[in-house]
Amino acid sequence: MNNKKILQVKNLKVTYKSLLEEVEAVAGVNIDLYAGEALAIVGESGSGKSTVAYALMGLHNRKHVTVEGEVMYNGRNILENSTSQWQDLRGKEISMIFQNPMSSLTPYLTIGKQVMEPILRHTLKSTDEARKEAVSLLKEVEIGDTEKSYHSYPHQFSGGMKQRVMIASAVSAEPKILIADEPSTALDVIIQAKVLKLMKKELVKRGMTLIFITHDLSVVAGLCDRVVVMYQGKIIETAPVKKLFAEPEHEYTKKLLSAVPRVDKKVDRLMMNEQTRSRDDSVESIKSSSSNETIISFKDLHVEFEKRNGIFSSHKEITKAVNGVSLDLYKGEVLGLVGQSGSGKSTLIRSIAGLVKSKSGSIYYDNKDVLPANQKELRAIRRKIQMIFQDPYGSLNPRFVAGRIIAEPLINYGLMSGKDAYKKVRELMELVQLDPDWINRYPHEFSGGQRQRISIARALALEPEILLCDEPVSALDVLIQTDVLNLLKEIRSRMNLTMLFVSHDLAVVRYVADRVAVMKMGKIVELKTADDIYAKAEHPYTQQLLDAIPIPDPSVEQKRIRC
Amino acid sequence: MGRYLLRRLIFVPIILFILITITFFLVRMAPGGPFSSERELPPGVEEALTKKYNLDGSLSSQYGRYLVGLLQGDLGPSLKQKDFSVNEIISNHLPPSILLGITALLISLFAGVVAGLVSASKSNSMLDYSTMAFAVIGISLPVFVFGPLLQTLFSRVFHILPVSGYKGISLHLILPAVTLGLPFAARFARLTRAGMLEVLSEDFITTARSKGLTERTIVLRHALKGALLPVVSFLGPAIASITTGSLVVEKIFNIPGLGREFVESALNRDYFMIMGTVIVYGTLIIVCNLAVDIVYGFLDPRVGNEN
Repeated sequence: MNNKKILQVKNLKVTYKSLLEEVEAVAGVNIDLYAGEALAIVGESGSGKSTVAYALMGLHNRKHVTVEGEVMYNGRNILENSTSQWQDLRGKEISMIFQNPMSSLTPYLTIGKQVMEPILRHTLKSTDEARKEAVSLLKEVEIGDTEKSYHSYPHQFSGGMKQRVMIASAVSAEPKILIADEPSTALDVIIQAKVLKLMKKELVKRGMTLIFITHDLSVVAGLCDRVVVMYQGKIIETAPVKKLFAEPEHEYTKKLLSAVPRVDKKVDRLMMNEQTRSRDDSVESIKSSSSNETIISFKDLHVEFEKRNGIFSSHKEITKAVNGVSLDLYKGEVLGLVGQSGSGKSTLIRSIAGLVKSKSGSIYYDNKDVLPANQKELRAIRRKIQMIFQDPYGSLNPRFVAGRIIAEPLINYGLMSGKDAYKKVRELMELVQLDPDWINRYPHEFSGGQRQRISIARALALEPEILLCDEPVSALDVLIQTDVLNLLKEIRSRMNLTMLFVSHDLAVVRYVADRVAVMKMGKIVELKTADDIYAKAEHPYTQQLLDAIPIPDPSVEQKRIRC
Repeated sequence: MGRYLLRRLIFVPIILFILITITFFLVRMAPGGPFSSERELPPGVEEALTKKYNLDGSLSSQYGRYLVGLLQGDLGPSLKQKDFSVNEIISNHLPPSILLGITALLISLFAGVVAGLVSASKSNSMLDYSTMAFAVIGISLPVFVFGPLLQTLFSRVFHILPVSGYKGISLHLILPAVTLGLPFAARFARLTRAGMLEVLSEDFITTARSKGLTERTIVLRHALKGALLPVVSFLGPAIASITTGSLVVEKIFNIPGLGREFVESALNRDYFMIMGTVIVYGTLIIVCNLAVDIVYGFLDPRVGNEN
């Protein structure tokens, strides 16, 4: 990093116009970007951080968006660019990687063609040369069998591979500045670590300047030199990364930092907002009450998925999602279940609720094997075992109001109706810290975190013994994630629940769980108490998972950078 | 792809067989018959007729005999056009319909897709609104209005094109093809526009923009294939219905096509003729849909080779 300013953003304002209203998403932002540095823009969703990035690339639709202010690059204000000037700049001077690798590559073009496009567009190289360069770029981003991959289509690649292809394509025309918009948010920890490491390598190799946009401060710690914190369209703090973590100035920054769960330290309670603070004393006094009484016990459980290639084909593909799991869940404990996507952890907890069919083995609930259960018995079991799902957008019926969603289990089991149910729903909404007066609102009127609270209220309506949580916070921003986690902790001690908590994030699991089981390819490879698994991990896979998790502390994280 | 195709091909005769069976019995369930008319036939005559045309015996035995004939490529006699077999009628009347249909299809496909692309690239402009307004008119204007309108304009007023008649590949085809193609062109335009606008809002289009590609390259390389998928889906049934003729267009432009036979055979209870037209139409639909699926596989690499 030197002192040459490569890009200067002066009083940038971005306004979204619609027929009904104008929304100022970015309200006068100033940023100096120094050549060779890695700058993070941090904020929660809706803070305007991506809007800034889009403005730097001229990607806003001019019909619906006004961009004001100045962005000085190479001595001129690029906001005055004509369409063709923007086209010359994009990919060649400033390049961008997007959040969702699944949808950001064109499904109709081969990987190779997409990687070589910027080369053909911005350099004088021939098609042959561009092709050779694309192949070597694919090798550089560690895509195996490059010749074959060159001719593959995006749908044949995993999310991590797609994101690496995105990187290859973004750097292919040697841009000076790379903007990465939440490039690892959609990936699980191990893949995230690999992608970030690769990005770092490319930055150093090509001497590029980085603008890294994220809501996750722990990722920033190891990767960036300076941090800009955005809140409601404004920059509230700019500081070198070490200073920001050590002495944050603004209240909001402090709140953000205190919300990040840490894998390397045991924390009793993460950031509290005003609502939870008042109740806190009562919560702390209730100790977690796990006992040695087994409530659920898996015995050599196998779950397989078959995929037949059409009705005339005899060939079957078998995926062993759960491959011989034996596990005891004690009454009153929180058991964390961690592993990468595809490790079978979701399948395992779904098999308890009878949502997937098991091939062999048994699941004992209250010392009774539930797998041979018929519909009626299953119904009785489900009353005691409730689930919370990952996606707070997809798991609530958009045509039901919140009250009806929460009341549905009660009505379904014939426990309550009319006034009683209404009263109960209001109580439940209060319990999960939702305003009971919102009982008649539809899911789309709630934010992501509030929707997850609706899911929790619905799950609690039947007063279950066991709560199965399937990645309940992985789709949420860090502040909201912390709120939901705190809520779950509180409810667990109040209602004396047993919880099975699935996540790919060991830091989150450390915060909530008493014991942790690590799953890999359908098997449990390690099971220890929460403290032990972080201090004395034995299995190399557990170690790998732990290593992959960024620690929100630059002094620690920059030493362990896995380059 | 080869195996997928084979699997699909196996279904063709099965679907056709089901179609033939259902049509055969449905037609017979309808009241009246080919020989019922206001003047009662003497019993002897009717008996002789039914025997001559293979309509005697139980329904199931008739069905059996029909299937045997069908396997030998014999669609049976026409009960109304007494000197012709169904085979002859179809081989006389299908070619004009197909020629007219293909011409109409090519015109409408070209006009529709181009109009849709222009509309989408200038979305919410006057050009877009007027193109789409024209498309709505195209869908809702009946051919018996549009056809005579064209005839009056181009033959009576300007004297550029012949008013009617059929002479193979000739200028005579243009007016009926445009008339027949107009509603299809309008649908293609709307489908292309909607498809294009949807694809242009996808994440990967933003990626393409961030590479500095020009809008032209983005539309043609990144968006067009995806935008045309709904058009291609509609193409299957469109080809089948456009090439089997239209009674109204044939009447207006005096074209000896198959469309008339469709309607008249049903009105006349011309049992074998009904069967013949249904088989032709059914085969076309099945084959066209199959072709569409194959084209789909080429357009979208995610289809067909998922395993």
